[in-house]
Formats: sequence, structure tokens, C-alpha cells
Amino acid sequence: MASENDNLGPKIASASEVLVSPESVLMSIAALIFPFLGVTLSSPPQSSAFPGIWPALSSPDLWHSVWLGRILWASVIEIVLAVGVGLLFSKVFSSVSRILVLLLFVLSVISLLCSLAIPSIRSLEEESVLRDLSVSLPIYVAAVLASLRLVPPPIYDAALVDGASAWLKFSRIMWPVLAPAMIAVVLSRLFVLLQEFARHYSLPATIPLACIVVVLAGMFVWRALATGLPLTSRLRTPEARPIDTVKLLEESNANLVEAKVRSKEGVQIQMLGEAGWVTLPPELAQRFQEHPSEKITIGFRPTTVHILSEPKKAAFHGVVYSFEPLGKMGLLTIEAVDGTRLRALVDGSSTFAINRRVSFWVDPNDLVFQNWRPDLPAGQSEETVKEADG
Amino acid sequence: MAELTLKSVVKQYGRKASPAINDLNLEVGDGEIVALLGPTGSGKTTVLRLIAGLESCSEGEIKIGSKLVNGVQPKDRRIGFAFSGFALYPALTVRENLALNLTARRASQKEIERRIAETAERFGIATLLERKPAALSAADKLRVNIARAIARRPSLLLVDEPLDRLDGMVHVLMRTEIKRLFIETGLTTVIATRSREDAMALADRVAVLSSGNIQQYAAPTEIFNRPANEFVAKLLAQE
Repeated sequence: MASENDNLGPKIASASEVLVSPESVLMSIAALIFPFLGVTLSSPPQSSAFPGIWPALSSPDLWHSVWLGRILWASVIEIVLAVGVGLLFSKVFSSVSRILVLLLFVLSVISLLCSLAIPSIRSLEEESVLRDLSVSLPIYVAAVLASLRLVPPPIYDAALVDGASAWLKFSRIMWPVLAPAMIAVVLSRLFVLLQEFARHYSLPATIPLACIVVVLAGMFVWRALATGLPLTSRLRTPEARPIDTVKLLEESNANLVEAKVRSKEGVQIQMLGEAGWVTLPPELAQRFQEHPSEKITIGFRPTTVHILSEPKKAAFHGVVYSFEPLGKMGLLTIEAVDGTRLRALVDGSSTFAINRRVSFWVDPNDLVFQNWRPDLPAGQSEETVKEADG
Repeated sequence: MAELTLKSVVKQYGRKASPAINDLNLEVGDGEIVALLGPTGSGKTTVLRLIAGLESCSEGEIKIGSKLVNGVQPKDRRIGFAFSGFALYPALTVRENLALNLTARRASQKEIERRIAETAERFGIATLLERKPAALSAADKLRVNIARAIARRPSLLLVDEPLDRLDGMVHVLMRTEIKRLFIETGLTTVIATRSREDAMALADRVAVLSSGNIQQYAAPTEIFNRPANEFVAKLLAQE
């Protein structure tokens, strides 16, 4: 049997989780450092001293590097193409999609080899987004296909039964799974831009450090805005954990009712909102007599509850909440007048209509659990505890 | 609500493969709760998928009410399907999960809100509406799964292995709860399950399946007391 927390469906990371995960922070640092290392090791001859922020921003060289970086064109085209080709492969060519992605990789390699061998192709590719597409598109299509495989088929079936349109399916089911992969695409484009930028200027050593600090600070601010968590909290967003199931298990190991001493002299107790008679074991009766005003919780198993064929005055009453035939036995749930539900095992050949009124009594010798409220040591009254505290 | 009739239904995957469902006949009365009981691979889920239109019959007829639904799209069959393993949309909140079908049918925002409030109240999930499935307990996922199927007001409810991911007392308590919900909604309901106890507890009638064939179709006590053959007797004898 599967565990309590089993969930059919992908564990989708939100955009903020992707951006601030330790892996992406490390990747960002590496991606930011490597281009600048490249500048130090093999500075191109056209490099010039960094002129300051505003002159750099107004420099045509910068915008040329932006064009070369193709952050706008290439990332938009790549995302659209990668998602489109990925969806086509997964839907129409699902059985051969891996072969098609491999084919894309082969074409990419051929294209690179051709550009090395033929100068006219090389010059054409250097000034176009074609070069980037030929290299990175197969990778992004593979990422899209891998992400789509995270969605289990029953979820698509559910969408089909719901009558979801293609757009609803894409926007509500597929895109949330694809978004983290697409964020990686945009990030990689951003790093290409920085790399192109670094090729045009000889940067002082503090600039890369400042860039890293700014990017990291930006990530934390993004996370704070997206999750509402304080900046100093842990990197990973904590998961909400269900608590009701454990509570349910803890309280339902037997039928539990609140009981109260009704008569100090006798052994009558009040529970289930009615006066009921229960011959209590001597030890329990003695404790009742010692603490007549206290409430206790009493538990009894389904076998302790006996259904009476005819209503009797000195018995508990309720209505049938549910009846489950289980072969030789049946599991009857009775809702008492105060709303408490009790479960009883009965003969499987009997039938109980829902909402039928039934009378029952409880066998006190089968009581399984007693809990005093407040929990006081035996022989110690509430007053003595107060005195001790004082 | 509607009756359901399956007449000589055959489902074969590939020409040379043996049929997954072989000449299956089943009649479910209006408002009746029927359980398909059988071991893994007996064809329970396939029968539900055929009824829902997620698979097409190789042969035979399926009628919901008086309407022949062979070839009718799943969204047009007026069915609610609570899938095995919950199959809730992971990126959407409970509210959005309940609303997707209504959004797809272009219901007004007011109508969507009203239906969600009504369903949430009935299933006791009003406090969970803004949570995502990952933040729900298994019992709550089951509630949401069935609530989503019923929110569209189907005439036929199909439920695949509703309790297989719950164990212990939660399993028993949820069984009681969904049994009561099925009775309250009054829908014609078909449940697929491997559990003898669940089938006997939930259904008015039980169809015991083996290799795509119905071995016995009768009331739970009838099946328990008078199994039709050795397979049924063995299946019911298992603890």
C-alpha cells in the first residue's frame, strides 16, 4: 500500500524555488565567473578599459554585443520553437520522439562542421540566430520532452473528461511543468549576453564580484516577493504538511466519548448527551467518586457496543450513520444524539437503513481506555495540586 | 441520473492479442452503486475507461440512459470520473481543480463560485480551497478527487480504486464517508476495486471480474454466501 504522502503528479518547483535553489545559485556564480575568466586569459585585442556605467550603456559596442548575445531574439525563438517541437514530438511522434531529438543533435553537429569548413556559411551564422538555434535547440527540445514526461497520463485523461480545450491543457497542466526548464533557457541566454559584454571591455576585478552580489541579492529579493518569506529564512520553501490524518488515527483507535459522573452514590455516568447506565469496574467507580465533577474520556471497541432489538429506557440512542456489510460481519456507524459517532461490529446478515433509529448499550467490562481531564495523579485532587503550585 | 448498459462489449489491443475485455454484459440500475471487483489485470479499469470514452470498444454497445454513447467524446457523456491515484492537477489549487470543468464549459463566474461553494460544503473541503494538491493529506485528496467528479453534476459517476492509497483507520473512516456521499448524491455509480471489503461495503451489487469476464454479478451477501465458482470463492476467502 502506498504511503500517506503519495501524490500522483509531478513535484513542480515554482519560479522562485528554481531561482534560489542552491544548484541554480552555484550555476549562476559559475556562469558569471567563467566569462570574466575568459577575458583575463585571452582578452581580445579590441578590448578597451571600462568607461563607466553610463558611457558603457550609451556605447554602440554594448548594443552590438546585445545583438550578438541575441538574448531577445534567440530566447524568444528558442522557447517558442522548443515548446512547439517538444509538444509535437510528444504528441504526434511519441514513440519515436527520442530518435527525432537525436536526429536534431546530429543535424546540429553537421551544421557546425559545415560552418567550420565553409567560410561563407560561417560568416552568415555568426551574424544570425541560426548558430545558436542549431546548437541549443536540440537541448531545449530534450528538456521540454523530459518535463512533459513528468505529467502522468491520468492527468491528461482527467483533462479530457473535463472537456479542457488545448489552450487550457497547455496553460494549466503543461506550462507549469515546463516553466522551470524555460527559466533555465532565459538564464543561459542572460549569461551569453554577459559573456559578449565582457569581450568588449577589460573589466576591473571588482565588477564581476559586484555582478555576482547584485544577481544573488536580486534572487533573494525575488524570493521574498514571490513567497512572502523573510529574507533571512532558509533557502528552500518549507512544505505544508497535513496534520489531520495523524490526529484522526490517534483519536479513532476506539470509540471515544466524554463521560461525566452523574450520581456520586451510584455508578451512573452521563455520556453521549444522555443518561446511560454502565456498571463500571470498581477501580474506575472509585475514581469517579473521588472526583465527581471531572470529565473523563472513555474508549470502547466496536465489539463493546451492543445493538438492542427493542428500545429500552436505560440505553443509549442514535441513528444509523452508515452500514457496511463485510461478509460474516457488518460495520455499523451510529450517530448519537450529541453528534458523537460510534462504530459497532454486527452480524453481517443484518441490514441497517441509514438514518434508522437504534438503541444500544456498552459493555463496561470491555472498556479499553480511560483518560482523566485534567490529568491528575491518582488520589490527588485538583485543590491539592493548586496548593502545591502555590 | 441514468441507467448504464454494456452489451457484448469486447476490447482488444492489437489484432493478435487476446481480448482485455471479452463479451462483457453489465446492467446498472438508476441510482444503483455497483462495484467491479477483481485482481490486478482483470479489466476493471479498462471497463471504466470504455464507459468514460477514454478507450473505444472493439465490439459491442455502451448505453448511458437510453443514449448509445459509442463514439461520443468523454466530455459529452455526462460522466464524472474519480481517477485512481487522485490525478489532481498539481499546479492548480483545489478551487481551480473543481472549476476547470466548469470553465471549459464556459459557465459564468457566478455559477462557478456557487457550484464550488456548494460542493466544498458537501465534501467538507471549504477550508482547503486555496491549497494545492501537494499540501493535502491522502484523505483530503480523495475528497477533492470525488468532489471534482461530482461538481460537474454528472448522470453517472465512475470511481477507480478510491481507497487504495489509504490504510488503517483512515481507510475505514473514508469508506464510511464516501459510502454516505454516494447515497446522498443518489448517482448511478460504478466503482473499480481490488478490495473485497471495499466492494462489499460500498456497493449494492458486486460484479466479480476475471480476465475481462464477469464471473458473478449479485448482491454482496449473495456473492459471499453463494459464490458462483471457485474463482469467486477464492477471491472472497482471501484476507
